[in-house]
Amino acid sequence: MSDDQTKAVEEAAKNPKNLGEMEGADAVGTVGRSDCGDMLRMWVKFKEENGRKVIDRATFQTFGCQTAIAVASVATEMIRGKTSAEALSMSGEQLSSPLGPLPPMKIHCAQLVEDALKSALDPAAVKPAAPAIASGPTLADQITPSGKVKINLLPKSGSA
Amino acid sequence: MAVLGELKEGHLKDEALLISPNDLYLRINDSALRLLDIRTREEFEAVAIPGSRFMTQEIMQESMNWPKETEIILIDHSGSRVLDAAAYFAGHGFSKVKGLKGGIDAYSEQADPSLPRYTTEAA
Repeated sequence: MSDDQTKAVEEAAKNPKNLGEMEGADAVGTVGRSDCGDMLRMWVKFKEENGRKVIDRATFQTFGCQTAIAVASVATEMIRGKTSAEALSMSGEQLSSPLGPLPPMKIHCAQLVEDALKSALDPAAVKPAAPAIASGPTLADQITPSGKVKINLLPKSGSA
Repeated sequence: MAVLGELKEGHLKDEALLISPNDLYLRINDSALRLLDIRTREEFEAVAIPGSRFMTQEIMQESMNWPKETEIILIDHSGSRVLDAAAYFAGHGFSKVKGLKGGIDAYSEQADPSLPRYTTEAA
């Protein structure tokens, strides 16, 4: 990422717009799993405008990296006023365009946002999202360890 | 010398993320504290600090919605993993997260001998 882009991502992630659950949303979409480290849920509310049903507001919650937050923030701003079909036609690249072209490692963040939007607006078309990194545990996995261990209690000091 | 300075600074930052067994013991009945145990379920079921909760994926997820000023104490066996866990929470905006220094092992040894100490081996 260029310095400018890093700054843009940091700024968008630090002050994300449209963050949080939305009461009374017309559509909700979720992609990813929180335990794999990348999850995004999006709420969308529509309104009637000039005889068209357009997106009034979209909000999101994510359990992902800074870039995912930044992309979701700019994307939820960008889709306001668009119809469902218009929003669905936008690619991850378009949704993240205010941040500039993302480096290859971060393209999945934009994909995550695109998929969450699709999951909300057209759930039938969405395939389950693959985790961003298929192998290797995430930090969250390490915090909640699995695997069996055998416990050997030690005698209390002073006792025989 | 600059390297030494950095090491010292890093050490101080690590220390700021830790709570000593005795300090925790003094506050063990403080209901504001959320004690999260990141050991394996077998270890948690064998020995646990009263009031602590076993860290599941569900609690992990739930905890991300707690107020960011919630006092979270992370507990592992010997203190070797809590810094990473504490840093994870701190990275998610939690300002009052600490790891138990030396883990439950040090807590048993220094603060509450009623909790048995143990060793583990792969089952």
